[in-house]
Amino acid sequence: MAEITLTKAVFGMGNQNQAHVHRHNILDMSTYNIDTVKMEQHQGGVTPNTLNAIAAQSGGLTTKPLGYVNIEDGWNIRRGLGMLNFLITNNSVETAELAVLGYMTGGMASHEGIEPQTMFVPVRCWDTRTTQKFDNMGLPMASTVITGSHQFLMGDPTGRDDLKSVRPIDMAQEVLGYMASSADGMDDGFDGILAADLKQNVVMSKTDNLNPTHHARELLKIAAATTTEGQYTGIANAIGDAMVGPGIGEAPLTSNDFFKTMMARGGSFSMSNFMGWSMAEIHSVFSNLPDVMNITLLDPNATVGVDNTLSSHEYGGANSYETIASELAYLTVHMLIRCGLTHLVFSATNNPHHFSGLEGSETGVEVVTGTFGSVLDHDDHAINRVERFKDMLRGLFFAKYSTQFAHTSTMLSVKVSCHLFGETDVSVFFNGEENNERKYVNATYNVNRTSTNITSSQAGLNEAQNFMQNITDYFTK
Amino acid sequence: MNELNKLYKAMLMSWGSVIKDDARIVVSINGDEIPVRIDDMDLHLPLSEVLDGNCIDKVFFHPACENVTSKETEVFKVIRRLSTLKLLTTFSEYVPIMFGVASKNTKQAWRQNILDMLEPLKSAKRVYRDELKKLFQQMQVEVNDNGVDNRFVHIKVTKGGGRGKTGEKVYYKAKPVFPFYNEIVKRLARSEGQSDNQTVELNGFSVSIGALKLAAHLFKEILPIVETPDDLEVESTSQVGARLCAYLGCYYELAEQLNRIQNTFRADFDKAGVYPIDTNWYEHLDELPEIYRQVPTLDYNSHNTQDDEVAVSTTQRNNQNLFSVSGSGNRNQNTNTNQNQGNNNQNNNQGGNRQPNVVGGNNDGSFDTTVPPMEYGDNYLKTELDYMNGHVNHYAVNNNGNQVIYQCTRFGNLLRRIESNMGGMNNMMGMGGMGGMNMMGGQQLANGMILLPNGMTVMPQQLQQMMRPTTAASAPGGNVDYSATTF
Repeated sequence: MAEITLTKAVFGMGNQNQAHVHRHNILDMSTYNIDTVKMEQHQGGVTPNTLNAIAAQSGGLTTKPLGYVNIEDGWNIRRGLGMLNFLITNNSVETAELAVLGYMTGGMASHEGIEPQTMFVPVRCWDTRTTQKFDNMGLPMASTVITGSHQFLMGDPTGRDDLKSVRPIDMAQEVLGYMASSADGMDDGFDGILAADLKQNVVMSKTDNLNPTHHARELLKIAAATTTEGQYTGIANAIGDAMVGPGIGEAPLTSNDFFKTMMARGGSFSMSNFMGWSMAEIHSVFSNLPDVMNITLLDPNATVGVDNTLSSHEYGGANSYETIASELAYLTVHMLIRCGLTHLVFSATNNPHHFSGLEGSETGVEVVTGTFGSVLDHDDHAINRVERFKDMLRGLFFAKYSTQFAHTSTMLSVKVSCHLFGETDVSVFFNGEENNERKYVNATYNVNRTSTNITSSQAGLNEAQNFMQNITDYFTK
Repeated sequence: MNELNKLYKAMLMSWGSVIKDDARIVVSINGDEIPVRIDDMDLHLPLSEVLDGNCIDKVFFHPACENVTSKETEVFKVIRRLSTLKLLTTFSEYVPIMFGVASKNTKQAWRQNILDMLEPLKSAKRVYRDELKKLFQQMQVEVNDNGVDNRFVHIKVTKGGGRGKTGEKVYYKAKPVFPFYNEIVKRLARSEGQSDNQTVELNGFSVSIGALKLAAHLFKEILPIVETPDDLEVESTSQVGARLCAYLGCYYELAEQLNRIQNTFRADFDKAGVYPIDTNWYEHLDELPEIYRQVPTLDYNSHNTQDDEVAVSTTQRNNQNLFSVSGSGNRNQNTNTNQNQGNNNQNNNQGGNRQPNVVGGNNDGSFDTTVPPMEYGDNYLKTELDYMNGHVNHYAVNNNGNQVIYQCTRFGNLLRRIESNMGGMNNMMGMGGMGGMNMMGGQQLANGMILLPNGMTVMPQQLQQMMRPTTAASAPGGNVDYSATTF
């Protein structure tokens, strides 16, 4: 039995923000790309190369926001934030660390501590695993890797909106569920799958899902499977088989040690209408909480508050500025975790005027980085992580906007200051028009409510479901 | 306004729409302005200024971004209605004018074909003309509620495939169908040899053969393509807005054909104030691949949000809701209609009886009426078929004398058990209300949350879950608070 110990509990403050909006991942393939997939399909199967290239060009966010995101206490307040670090010991050679980030609601705090009824709402987590190894000289060394990172998707805290999760696996399950119920003659009875209903569940969504390219690729893989394998086994079976692939799989909530322990010790196993855990509850399970707690920053006077409502653009429009800024805000968080960084400041552009044309850059994208931090303490290789981040940015983000032809590219320049736990500022301008720059601020510590894997409308869900059906039809007929 | 919006605006204006100052699109019919709504949201032109503002409760008109895999989108359905309504009203306006022309003296310049055109109109009897007026009022834009197809024109868009005349890949093909005209021709063919004053039924409307002949003649003269609609097949090889281009190509040809006859009798049409349908925007459709990116991809335009077949029957009836499309949000309602269509056949076999039927009479075997295993204490009473929803309801009575319904699919799978407990209702309410909370010593806060003595705030639902063990201990058997409130 693994042992879980609370090692650190650090608290801080967020800033005032604009009201956030719901936008979810979509896959919108151009006719040209669809023809390419179909052609390769006829030749025996789609190559991973094509799939990746097309996914990078086709994934994105809905342009039109589906509605405002409801959150406890509204958006325009400074919010208490917290990070809990746990040490999980399985055996002597391997130790795992779990970091859970969350925000606070419904209580007061002073230098003496946090009121017991204050709720801690978990937002995201990541695990690192340290293994004792021997290097090639035979000397002992520790190797640390990040083994997973997730968001906890939650329902509307006000209970007004019916939120559903739209991770790739949910969409595949929706289609399967719909196919099953219509085969049973009860099309009207199908009201979506329970696992995706955020009223009933807290859903773990891996950070990859914040990457529209990943979302697009997983869906494309399923669609492609229905045409090859589906021809022999039936489409429903092909979808079922494709759902066990490694890319699309999701971890259940009980695989998270923090949730598992809290649920087991607290005796509550239903996650329906989950509102977080009170400090008193956490204290009752992890009795050393007061000893490891650091609340010096949980004080509005400790840091200067920034009122982002005054300095950033409002959300709610349906223009490229807002869509690209939102996409980048979610994507950078995914990339930070992938690379093992906690924060990074960078600016990037694919506009050749900014780096004197092709001579200035081999890849057509220039990235300049500023300050950064690693998720590991005393990390000697943090600079390598930043290089990896740059590569990912080119492949996952700019690939879509810079095509091989200059005249069809979207010339955009961005300035980003992203934080795994804080606000991510994105400033965007197009075609070198620096005076038309727009700044959007995304509260990354509220991703449990704002995630791009949550949809607030039935239309969004239907569209997603129809899409799967249409693309299957298109490929098979 | 960018080129794309200019094109959209010209297109919409030519169909009798008005763009309001706030870019809202309304349809003007006889001076009434009817808003175009999709899922209870107003349709707007996607002007940059509007996209920059708050767009949460708006839907935009951007059909060019339709994905090639999509079925007809909600916005495309609006286009369908607007454009066919324009063709229909224009055609209807022509009829009195044509009679007016025919009643005047013959002009020297008229050639034989025009004389042939006007001759039957000139000699038409008054009573046939009146009948004709009523007959043409039967024409509609869409298939009506009862499934009667009185559509003036339907532009059928099908997936292409293969290579077109130019050797390029064809994405979509469009060609017109004239259901109302076809019906007229069919009736005439069947009643050949009968006298003109004989009446026949045309989709439930009684009309004389004389009037039908007149109608067929007018159709052929005003819109000669009705005889050879296959000649008007338009292929779309554009990768952008393929369906839109095919559809509008077909619409353009029809509109041009309607316009042609106006030029022959320009003076008469001028007097009546009827002018050609504006089709000048059509040439700009070629620029679509260059300009369609001026507006980003928007939902309700890129992918359909509901099933194709269902859409036709759920909406429409009068002008007020002709332009309200329901994309989703009520999946139940939509699919109900689907079910009804499926069940029509069965109902026809049974004399059109749509009421739930008691088993023993007319179950045609497509419903599995096996009674599901029931809970202890439920006594089976009877089984009824619910054709509306495709369900089988098994009725039973439980120990307390309340009715219990076991609802199954028509394949016999249990959907749900519904218990109507009239008797116990009030007492149950007492438990769920304040009575239950006081047991825990909780306080209800203004926001509906409950503050417990240990400082925790919980939702009422959570409280009920937490309470379950306590209540079960105090009075086993379920209806716990019987004692608390009744006695």
